[in-house]
This record gives sequence, C-alpha cells and structure tokens, in this order.
Amino acid sequence: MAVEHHSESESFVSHYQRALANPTLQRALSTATGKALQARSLAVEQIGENDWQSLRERARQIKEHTVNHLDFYLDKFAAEVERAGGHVFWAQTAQDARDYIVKLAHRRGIKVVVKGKSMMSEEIDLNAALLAAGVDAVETDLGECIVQLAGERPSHINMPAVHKTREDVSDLFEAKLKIERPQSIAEMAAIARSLLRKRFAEAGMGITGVNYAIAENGAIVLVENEGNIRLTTSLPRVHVAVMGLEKVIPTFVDVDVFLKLLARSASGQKLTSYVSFLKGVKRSVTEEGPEEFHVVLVDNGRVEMLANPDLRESLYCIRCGACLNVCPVYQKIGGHAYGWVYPGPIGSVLTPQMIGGERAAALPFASSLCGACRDVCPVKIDIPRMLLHLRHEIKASTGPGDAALSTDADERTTVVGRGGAGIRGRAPVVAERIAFKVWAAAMKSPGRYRVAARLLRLVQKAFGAAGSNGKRTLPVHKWTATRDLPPLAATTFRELWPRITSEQASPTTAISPRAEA
Amino acid sequence: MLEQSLNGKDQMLARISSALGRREPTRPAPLPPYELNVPRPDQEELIARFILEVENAGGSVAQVNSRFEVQTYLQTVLPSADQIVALSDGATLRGLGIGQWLKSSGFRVLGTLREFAADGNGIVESPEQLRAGNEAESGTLFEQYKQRLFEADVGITSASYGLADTGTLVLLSRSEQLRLISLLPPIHVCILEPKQILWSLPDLLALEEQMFLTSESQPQTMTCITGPSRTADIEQTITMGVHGPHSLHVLLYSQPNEVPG
Repeated sequence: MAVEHHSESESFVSHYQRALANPTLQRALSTATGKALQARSLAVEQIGENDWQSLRERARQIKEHTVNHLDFYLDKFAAEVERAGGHVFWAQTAQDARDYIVKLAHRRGIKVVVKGKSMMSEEIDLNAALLAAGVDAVETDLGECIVQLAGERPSHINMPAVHKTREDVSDLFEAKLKIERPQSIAEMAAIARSLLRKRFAEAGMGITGVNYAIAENGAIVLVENEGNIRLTTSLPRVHVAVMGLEKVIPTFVDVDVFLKLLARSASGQKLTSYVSFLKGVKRSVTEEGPEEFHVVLVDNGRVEMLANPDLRESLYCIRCGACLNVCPVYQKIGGHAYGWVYPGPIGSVLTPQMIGGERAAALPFASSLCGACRDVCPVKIDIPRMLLHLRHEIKASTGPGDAALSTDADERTTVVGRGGAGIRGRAPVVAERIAFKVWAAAMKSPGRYRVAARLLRLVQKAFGAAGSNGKRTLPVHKWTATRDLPPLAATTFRELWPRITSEQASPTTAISPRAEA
Repeated sequence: MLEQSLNGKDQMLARISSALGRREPTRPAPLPPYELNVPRPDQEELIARFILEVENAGGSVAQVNSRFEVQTYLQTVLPSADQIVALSDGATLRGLGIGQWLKSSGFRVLGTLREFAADGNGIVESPEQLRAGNEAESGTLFEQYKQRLFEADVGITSASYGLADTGTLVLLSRSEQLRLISLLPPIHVCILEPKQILWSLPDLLALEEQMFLTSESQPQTMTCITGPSRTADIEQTITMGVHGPHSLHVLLYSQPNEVPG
C-alpha cells in the first residue's frame, strides 16, 4: 500500500495551499486543536500554575542532565535490559533498525506483526519494510489503523487521523474492508475491535515504541488509552520496542514528573487509561507475556543533533503534541503539509536536521515566531530560538553565485544536511539585500532615523490609503498580498514629546537635552 | 540468535561521547531529589477521593463489606448464567470464595494460565521448542489458553494498590496472574481493600522502586488502570472499549470489623 511520502514533486507551498483551500480539513483541524487546547488548559488550571511550572522546570532539568550524559545512561539502560533477559540492538541508521526487525521476524517464523502507535516506527518506515519481506504489519491504534487503511501517514503526533471526518472513515471502512457502510462512530469502533482482535490472536510479534526507558532498572514505560499496547505487549511471543536514543531517563521515580506533564499536555487527562511498566521476560511457559524482548535503540541522526549544542534541546521532546495544537501554522495547514513524520513546530526543527533537503529547509521559515509552542512545551524547549538558528544556518549556507530574482522561499535551493554537510545555496534575493542595507543605514543614527520616518510618511501618502500598500511595488508584492503596512502616524511620538513636556512646564524633566525630538 | 558484534554498541557509545565532547562516559552526580507539595489526607479522604476519581474516569465503585454483598454485586454484572467468567488467583479473591460461588451458581469459570496448565491442558513446550516453532501453534499451552480467554465475558481480578489522586488501579504481575484477565474480557471487575489505597503515583513508585531494581532481575509488569478503555480517534468523539474493557467495576471490600467510620 503506497504511503504518501515526503515528495519532492509537490512543493511545500503547493501542499499547504491545497490544505488551506480544503474546508473540511480546516474545520477538522480547528475543532480538534481547539478541544485539545481547552482540555489542556483545564488540566493545567486544575493542577495549579505553580506546580505546573515547577514540573516543567524539573522535566527540563532531567532531560538536560540525561542528554548531557546520554552515553552513560544508555549504556546503563542497555545493561539492565540484558540483565533482565532482553536483547538490545544499537541501530545507527533506519536501515539497520529495519533489517534487524525483519530478520528477527523471519528467524522466528513470524507472519503477522501487531503494532502499537509508534512515531519512531513511522520515522524508520518499518511497515513498508515488513510488508516487502512478506510480513503483515497491522496497526492497532484506531487512528493509525485508519491512516493505514487510507495509505497515508499520521497527520498528528497523537491524533493520527485528525484530518479525517466520520464520513471519511465510513467511506474508508466500506471501501477497504468490503463491508456495509457503518452508520456511527460506535459502530466503526466495534468493527475495528472485532477485526483487530483476530489479528492480535494470530500475531507472533508485537512492536511498540517507548515513552520512557528507565536507565536504573531497564524497564520501559508505555502510555495509552485504548489498550492496544497492552495487547501488543502481552499476547505475541516476541515484543520489539523501538526507541530514539533520547527516550532514556535516569530513575524510576523520575517517571512521575513526565507522566504528570504528558497526558495533560496531550489531551488534558490527569493520566492515560493505561500506563504499563515492563521489565524483563518470563522464565517459564506457565507465565503470561512474551518470551522475548528486544529493544532497538535508534540513532538516525540523533547523535548529530546531540553534537550541536545549539540544537541539542531538540532531543528533550516527549512527543506530547501540544506545540502542534497551539501553533497557528499547524492549525491551518495540518500535518501532511510538513512533508515528513513529525509535523508542527517540533517537526520544523527535527525535519531539516534529520532528513535535510529543499523542502525541509522551508519549514523553519514557515513560522511567525509567536512563541506559543515554547509556552506550552512541557519540557520548556525553546523552539523559536532553534527555528531562528536553523534559519541562520540555512542562509549562511549560501555561497557566491547567481543572485536569484525569485522571491519565493520555496524555490531557493538550500540544503541543510546532517552536521552541516552538503550545504549549498544561492545568494539572497537582490531586493532583500537592498532592503536590509537601506534599513541598516537608516538606523545608524537618530538623525537618519528621523529623516527616514519623514520620508516613509511621504512614500505612504504617495501610494494611497491602507489596503493598497506596496501592491504596485513588484519585488515585495508577495509579502504585501496578504499584509498591509500599518498607516504611519501623522506625528511621531518623538515629535510629540517636546509639546507634551512644554505643556507640563516642568523644568526638571528627565529628558536629556541631546535627545532628538 | 541475532547477536550484534560488540562494535555496534561500542561504536555508538563512542560517537555519543564524542558528540558530548568527551572520550568516554562519565558517571554524573545524580540530580537532587524533587517533590511537589503533596497533601497528606487521612484514610477517609483517601477513600472518598479514590471513589470520585474512579467515577470521573468512567469506572463505577461499590463499597462492600461481606461475601454476600460481593456476590450480590457480581450478580448485577453477570445477569445470565451462560456467561464465561475469567478469575485470577489473587489472595483476596480466594479469601472471598468467589471461585467456588461462581461455580456453584452455574457459571463457567476460566482460571489463570497456571491453573489451566495444572488442569492438564495444552502441550507444555519448553521456551526453546516454542522459539523454534511457528506462531499460532494451536497446540501450545499459551495459545490454547488465549483462545479460551478471548471468549470470556467478564474478568475478575484484585489489585495491589489504588491511587486516590487519579482513581487508578495498580496491578502487579508478580502478585497475581491478571495481565490478560484484566484486559481481554469486555468487562473488568477489580476488588481491593481501602487500606491498599495510596495517595498518588510518587508514593507507588517509591514503594515499588526496590522490586524493579532487584538484582535477581525477576521480570516485573506493573499496569496502572484508570477507567475503562477509550478512544477519541474519530472526530474526537469518545468511545469506550475499542480494545480493552468497556466497563470497569471497582469493589472496595472492607472486612465487617474494618468498616471505615
């Protein structure tokens, strides 16, 4: 089944324009993010602002500490997993991870794999590899099941099918499952339950991600509401957990901080319906659970992120999805427009670093830097700072060369690759360079600033009333097509000030005689 | 066996150390401890809060003080005699004589995997044999047991702890074989005593820390259950029971002479 991959053939601009023009998607995004945000607000209010901020601070402290000693903690975690009877595979690339899992399935004679929701498994494109190897990989989370049937990627970190209406899902079930069109959501859930129970019964392997990997004891923690992860980790004989290197935390008691933050940030719940703490494997056939446990530790570019101190905090992310919900850009364009596995603000930081490429280089620019993501992030990741940093890296990669007259950011060929390798680009647009030079010149002294302000007022008068600003100015028409220059005041504050102070007739005002009016 | 040469691990650890600007991992000083100011409610408040939170999460709670009351409640959950009841082996359940009562009331009772094996079911294979074989071998013990458990209508277990702050039941696999009995049947009945209720997760983690650290590396599974199974994946509309149980019944059992005031 073809998955809609990050495609070079459709540009970012064209993709998001399509999203913006889709009223169903717009409604779905608005409703879903609105509900999630409201639930989150209530949950934060309930726990109290002080405790919430204290938790965020502590969570960041734990992540910073762990990431700064990632070698120590991963080594410890792996040793504990092995001591408890599990296997650890260190996968440098996505291919390494895929190969290990496919080989494992073959060697154990496994034909059916059930999967819990795992963004990491999406990242390494695991399902396609299993399918190509003749192994059926069945998504069991309802949202993931839906997007799998549709041959799409999930469009949100924890609401995979947020872009689909109930009619879409009905249509999908009818077409792909060859059944009578379901009439209600309850009916669709019941159909999914019944279908997936059969797959659970026959699956030889269960694959999940990992929410938290505890270094001191080798246990993993998995959170969910549906129960499919419990089924995935209890029924099949082999359990494989794929995790990014950054999922490790130092101690058992540290988990509480993250659990308090995660469900509230994601969906406004105090705790998800199920939290599973799993350590080791059974030693006898009369015990429940899998016989084999494998952890696949995945690098896939994370070590390079680690090496860059400016971008290292990308690794603190606990995948709560709050930044997506609050982002004015995500709310309008949805997850698929971002072109890869991770959408939203965190996606705009991860994608350029992990896969690079032209399309990814556009993402850090697709932000107003409003900072809402930073405000809601449970681990206090400063996403706007990283977006700016990435913008600098992308721009700095421009070499001498033909100045492009295009003003379309999407058409610039800058490539931000891993560790800065393979970066090339064209010079910034001529108009942009001139504009910045002029601005820099105008800001050099208060006198120049005053002159510039007067000039600008004249220019604005010349171009007519608000609403038509710049429409006749070609190089910036794309900017002004959706923005108006706010009308400049007839009198500036600086011009007004001497009048105000002389009216007050106060001889001891704090204005320095040298301050320009 | 799928062995990875030591190089895979060493290589990655070396690259991580190098990325962090060092030659090899160094043991960091642990972070200072952390605790939010937590209330310390008394037993009565704990119970009241637990009940409230379980109900908020979509479960139902009944306080019972005798075997008779337990049986009466179970009869409401099991209206028809042709239902199959899966019963785990928790001490509280045995003490209440639930298994005997169910059987004498005419219900079909499925016990734990261990009990199923002891009854002479299934072909018990060694782990090595299991690994070498194919999946879904209907002859294996676990496969047979699972098939039977898929047909059960109700699962009855006890719990090791309750968490009042979130209305959570804590199930430990080392205490009782309840991992699948609490999950597969569409209705889950869970019995625990008020004295088992803690305030919240940090209390639980502090209590269980040692067992998870234990150097014999005995497998541990701890499942925290808060309400029935739910999903909101279609238009954010909440639907219960898509995978786990759609109903959760909690019975707070106090011995007659322990009834809280």
